[in-house]
Amino acid sequence: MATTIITGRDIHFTIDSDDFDAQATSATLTVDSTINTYQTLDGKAYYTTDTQGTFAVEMLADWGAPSSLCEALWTAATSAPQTPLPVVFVSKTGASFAFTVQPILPSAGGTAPDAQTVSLAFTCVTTPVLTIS
Amino acid sequence: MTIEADIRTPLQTTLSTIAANVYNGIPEAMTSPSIVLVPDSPYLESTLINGSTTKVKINFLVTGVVGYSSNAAALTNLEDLMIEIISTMPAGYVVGDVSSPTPLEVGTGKFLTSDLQVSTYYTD
Repeated sequence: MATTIITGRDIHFTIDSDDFDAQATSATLTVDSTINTYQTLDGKAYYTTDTQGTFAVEMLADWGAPSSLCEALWTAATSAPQTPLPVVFVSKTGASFAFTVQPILPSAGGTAPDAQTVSLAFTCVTTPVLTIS
Repeated sequence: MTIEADIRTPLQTTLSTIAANVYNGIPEAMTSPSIVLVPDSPYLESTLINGSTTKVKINFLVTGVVGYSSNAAALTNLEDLMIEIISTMPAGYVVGDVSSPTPLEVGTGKFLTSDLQVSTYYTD
């Protein structure tokens, strides 16, 4: 089987239907499992009791820009902090994850010589559902 | 859409308010004072997601060039020129450091130059 390489440039995602392609430099979906281990007479047995997803995004800040994504995230987190936001995360065309995240407030500011950046770590409200096409 | 039309020439136009010849690329003949947009290394970086639309970070050196007939005057002129370039840089550019002055001889001309690191983003 030939080696397949996909890169961060294959990623595409939307949060609350807003496209982040123009600003995002990194996006990572991680789902951690809580696994209980039982020592039985036959050896170890494992049982998964829970999963928790985290969606980490690194992006260039766009405060003040028309249709600002930072401002949209801020507005969502302050106006409806308990309303999960829908996310569609495509790691590569044909492999799409759908889930919701709890709104969080983006940071603002940075160092003088550099582009302002924002690091976001969303907590997934629903377990990501993978759609393969 | 091209980098020349959308990035280099608009930056050249903005910097043209400074009393110097401004070139949006490396000129065939050097004059002073002048400002030259030179590709830095790496020149184009793919830093954003979704490669279906080509988006690149562009790194330039904005080189300030002054005549070099005396040390003191040349350094003062170069300092003034680089400060003017920094203060004239348009929004949307990350403005970095200015390199130490470097003598440059082109033909019979003697120049003193410094490079200002700048970067911006371009979507094709």
